[in-house]
Amino acid sequence: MSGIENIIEIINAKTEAKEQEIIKEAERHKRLKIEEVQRRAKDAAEIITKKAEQQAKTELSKYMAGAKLKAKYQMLDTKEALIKDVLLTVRARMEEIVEKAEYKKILSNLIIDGSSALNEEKLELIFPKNHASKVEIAEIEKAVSKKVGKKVNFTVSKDNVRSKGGVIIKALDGTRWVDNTFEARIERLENKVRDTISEILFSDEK
Amino acid sequence: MCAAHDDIDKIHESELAAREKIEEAEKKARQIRESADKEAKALMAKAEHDAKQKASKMLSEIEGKKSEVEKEILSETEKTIENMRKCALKKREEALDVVYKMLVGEA
Repeated sequence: MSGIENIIEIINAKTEAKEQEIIKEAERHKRLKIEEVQRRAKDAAEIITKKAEQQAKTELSKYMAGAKLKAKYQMLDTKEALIKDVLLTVRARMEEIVEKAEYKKILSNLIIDGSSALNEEKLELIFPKNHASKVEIAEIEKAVSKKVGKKVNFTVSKDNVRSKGGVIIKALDGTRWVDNTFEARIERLENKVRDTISEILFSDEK
Repeated sequence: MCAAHDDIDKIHESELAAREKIEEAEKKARQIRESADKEAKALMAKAEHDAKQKASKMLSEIEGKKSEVEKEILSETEKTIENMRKCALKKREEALDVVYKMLVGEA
């Protein structure tokens, strides 16, 4: 081989080596880039999936809490309906009782209890229309006098109270009174009555 | 002198050919890099697309689970309410008597 051919051979060999190096470097760059992107793509996919999982979980929990709350309200509504049924039935019974003989005893007791609480010697009784005749005032005076330990006198008011039953007992000076009409008692005792009904109806519940 | 010129020309030609080959290789390398960019973008887009589809499926499945949960809770509640109502009705008369006595002052 001549000198010049040798030189050309060297140039060609170096060129080929350089070519290979350039291509090899580009392919290495490509491989690294793809590997890096595969990692990033996996991470990005995981973020999206985890976010969706969390969102689904939260949504389901929220929905479940809502459904449980709805169920609780249904329970409360049912309880309320059962309590109301008892209250309405009792109210109806009270309205019916005024026409029966046992009303005399009930009305007398309401007067005695109210009078004892007031502890006055002179008291006025205000009845619903036509109810005054259903009690024996003299008998009640005796019972109250015995209970409070002093002579008690009643006067029956000419006025009437608008009520289904019961009585208002009032000190003669008008400063103190006990409203023992059915309506006032229902209103006054409502919370206690509701608690009692709940206790009886729902006491077996855990 | 002529032979020497010929040699120089040959070397020169050979260098030119080498430069062209290098330029060609560089061009090919650029194409490889560009294709890497394209592949990378496509890979990322596909991964995101697949993940979004999976997420969307996951969220749509929730609707079915919601109905299941609601059905289950509703059924349990109905049973509880029914039991409660039965127990309460057994004690209704007792409650009526106690409350009646409280309200008319007999208790």
